Amino acid sequence: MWTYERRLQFPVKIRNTDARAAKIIISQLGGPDGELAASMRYLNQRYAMPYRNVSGVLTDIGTEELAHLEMVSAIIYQLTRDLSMDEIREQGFADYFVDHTLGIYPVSASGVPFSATYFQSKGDPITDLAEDMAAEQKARTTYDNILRLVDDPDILEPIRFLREREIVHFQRFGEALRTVQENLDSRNFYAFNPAFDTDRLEN
Amino acid sequence: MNGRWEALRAVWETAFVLQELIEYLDTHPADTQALSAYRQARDAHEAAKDDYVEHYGPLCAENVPDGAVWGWVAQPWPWEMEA
Repeated sequence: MWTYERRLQFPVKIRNTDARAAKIIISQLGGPDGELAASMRYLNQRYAMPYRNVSGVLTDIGTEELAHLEMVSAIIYQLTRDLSMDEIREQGFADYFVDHTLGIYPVSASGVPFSATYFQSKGDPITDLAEDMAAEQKARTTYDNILRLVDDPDILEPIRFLREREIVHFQRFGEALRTVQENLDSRNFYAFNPAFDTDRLEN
Repeated sequence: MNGRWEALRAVWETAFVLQELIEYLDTHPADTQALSAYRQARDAHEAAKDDYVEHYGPLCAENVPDGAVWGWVAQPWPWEMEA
């Protein structure tokens, strides 16, 4: 279960609204490498993971991703608060506005709604952890691209924090993958799936 | 407002150290240095949260102070500019 704590993981206080920036950053909410996909990926993968410390990594990082989801949403909310109709038209926000007004809805920067097809839960520890490591790098690249497109320091600070977290989580998933491999046949990691072929597990 | 922000900053900073140690310990469960750092970080975070809650209001719906009205919904939510 989860308990809500009434604070963001890192402060978000954006003084100037900017609908253009919001439309770019929203990809880290509902886009292919965004925080919603990240949290759902790790939290769904936990159950078939046969190693308790790796399930711990998936639980704790998956939970942190929910806090990142909230930070990205707070950024979008603050960037689009109190927009006038003129600002909505001039800042290219009319196509989002027509479907969602100023409500927060998970879409990519190009407007594609969130889809569970953005992540896998394959039920094979090597496959899932390789996906998790790639996901962290894809999210890091997306944050790098956001940093190239945005110059307001109020936006840059929380985005830089989120980018750093991708790097730390890549490291943790790499360590988790090493744990999995240490439990397998070192001559052939792929001889069996430790999440399914449990009769083949030696320890 | 400034006092509240400082108290909240202490919650943020101690929570961040704790979060890092928790995820590190998941993959290094026998690291005695990290275990000792965890104990310190946990105590520092508890103290920071207690200080914030005592002066500025609840962080969780499970420890809302006694009052004539429900204090959980009285203050700005974390995404608001006023928070």
